Amino acid sequence: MKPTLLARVSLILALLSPLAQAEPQVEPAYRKAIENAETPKAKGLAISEAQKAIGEGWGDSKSQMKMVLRTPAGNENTRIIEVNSLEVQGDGDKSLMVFNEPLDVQGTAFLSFSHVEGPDDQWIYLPALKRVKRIASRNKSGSFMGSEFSYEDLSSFEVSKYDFKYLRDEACGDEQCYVVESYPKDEYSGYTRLVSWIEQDDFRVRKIEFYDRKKALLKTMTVDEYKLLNDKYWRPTRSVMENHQTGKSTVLIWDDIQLGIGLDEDDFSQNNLRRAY
Amino acid sequence: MGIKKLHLISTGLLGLFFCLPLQAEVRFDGYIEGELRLYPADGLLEEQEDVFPSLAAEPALTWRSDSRRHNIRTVLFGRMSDRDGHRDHADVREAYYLYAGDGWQIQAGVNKVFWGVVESSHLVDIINQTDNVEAVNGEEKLGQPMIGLGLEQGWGNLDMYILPYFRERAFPDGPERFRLSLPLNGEQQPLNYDHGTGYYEDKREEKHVDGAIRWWNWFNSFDIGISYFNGTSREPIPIPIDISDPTNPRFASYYEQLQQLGIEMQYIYQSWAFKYESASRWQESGNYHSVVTGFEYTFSGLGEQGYDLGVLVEYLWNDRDEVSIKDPSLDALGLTETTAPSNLLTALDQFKTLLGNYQSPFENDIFLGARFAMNDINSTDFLAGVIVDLDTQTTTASFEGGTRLGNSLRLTLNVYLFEHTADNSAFAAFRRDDQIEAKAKWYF
Repeated sequence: MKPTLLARVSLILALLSPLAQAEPQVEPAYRKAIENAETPKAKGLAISEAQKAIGEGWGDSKSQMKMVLRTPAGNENTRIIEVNSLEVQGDGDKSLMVFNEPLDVQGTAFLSFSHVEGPDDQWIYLPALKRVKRIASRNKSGSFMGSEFSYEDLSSFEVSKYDFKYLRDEACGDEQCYVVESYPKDEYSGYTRLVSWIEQDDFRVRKIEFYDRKKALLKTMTVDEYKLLNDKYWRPTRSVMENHQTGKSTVLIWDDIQLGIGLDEDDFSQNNLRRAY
Repeated sequence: MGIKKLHLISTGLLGLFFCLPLQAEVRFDGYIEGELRLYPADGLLEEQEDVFPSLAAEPALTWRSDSRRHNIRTVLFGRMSDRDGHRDHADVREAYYLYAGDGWQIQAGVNKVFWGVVESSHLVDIINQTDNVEAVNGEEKLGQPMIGLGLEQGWGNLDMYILPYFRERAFPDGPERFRLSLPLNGEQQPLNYDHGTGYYEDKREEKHVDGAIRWWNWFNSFDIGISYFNGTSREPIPIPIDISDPTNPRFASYYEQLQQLGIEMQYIYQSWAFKYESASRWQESGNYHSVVTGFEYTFSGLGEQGYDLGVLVEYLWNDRDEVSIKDPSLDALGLTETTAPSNLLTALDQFKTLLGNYQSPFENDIFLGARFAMNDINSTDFLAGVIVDLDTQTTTASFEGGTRLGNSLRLTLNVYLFEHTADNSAFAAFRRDDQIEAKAKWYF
């Protein structure tokens, strides 16, 4: 009896240990949904659901975001932002961003609650006046602090905010990607459609093209230098947004990303926004 | 036993002293500013000058424990120039300890608290005294000593303050602009102020303990705040204290007790922000209500460069009658109608009308404004606006713009204009004080 149990346990351990080292895997049901999708719409949706699902469960995170703004003339300015985020079950994420640089906006902070349904809630804290102001939700297409990223580019990805269409398979670097088109349902989105290149094996986003309200190509975001965090979550540490119409670009670099540090709802209140700096 | 205990405490304190800074975040930052103020027109008063260079600094020291529960922050401010007047001043803007609990916070010390939602005027904002010599727009505040408790619960937020000490409002003096003056005996007479000798309705004077409470919450796109304040009015009423020499009457500030009920509401719908702010005040010089309401509409991502443009419209109203200064000022001087000299009573009658106008500028006014953000790498932006008195056409206009040079230098240009200023307007004394103000702020 005893040897059998021991053998079983060691067998399970032997089976488990390589798994723990392996890359994150999506539930087989999601793979099946992609395989069984009968229309490009259904396949696009299935890919996006798998992409959302594989990234879920991180709980809360803290990181430092460096934002380098570049003009076509070659001028550069850097913003350094502390970012705290909280995953909310059944709704969009919450995030609190505090500016450290440039120094004249030091202490300026943003609190944002993304929602699956309806407009996001956003507040800005202005330290010189000690004033918290609500930001009109429609302004999501506006630039985030002068960068090529808009508020909507920085809010959490929610499947229900888009319609999807699978376009094709295509090589992306060494990997094979799904190319999926998505159409924002919100009439106040700055975009008519997005074209995303998503890796087939682990659903990491490689590239997104953004088309403006006039259906012209506006921006391209390329995402790379992924890091595997907590053996489970791929997080990009660098993404570049190029604006094709103005020649301006913004590079985002994430540093010191920590997952599951124990942040909770209290850390994302308006009082906390005032205390953030 | 006693010695042992003392030893324990001192070791503990010593340990705390050495341990705390190591497990904490300490930050020193702030700015140094060079400023130039220009006045294209000569002032109403002979002694007023036209060009004012000055230097200012605002260093801040912040200490925060790693848990982020214990916070200590000190912010000092000072301005200096080679001119006489009251603009050279120093202030403790902040010096407080704050403990952040789960769903509550407590603080003690000097701090600033802002209340309100509208842009053109701040009706309900009452905790801090306005730093009247520092900025024309009233946005600069003096630090206020306070003990505060904040609760953040399911039913909303409740902030309670005990304000044990009052700060007087300073006024420009000597060669400075924005001096109070009155047309007396056919000539513009300055209100020569005895600063620091405020008269108070309450016997405890600046030591009267004020109290304030505010409940605020938000429901989807709707924000609401209801506040109540009981204590010393932040707005002084100028009262004559010596008119024995009619060419040089002397004045002092009179601070009455008031109760204020404030309401703030905001509703966000798409690009619209609808705003409402009202204050009802009960006080000796006359009760009154005031309201500011309007909207801000934001166009975002304009043009290829993605500019943001906000359009602001607000209506300002109050029902303040003539300010009843006679009783307060006689009271403050320890006189009554029967014991006061007759020339004082006559003068009081005259001042009552003039000062009454001065005290309530926005009785029926409209504010039109534009907020522009270029969204360039230097964060270039401006806010421009006009407030027009619908009864007298008295117009105040402002432009506040800024841009960044490099990573730590911000340049700002502020312009304030006074047009069609009616004789009985609150701005009559400032009608020649159109101001151009350029600042270079170096942040560290």
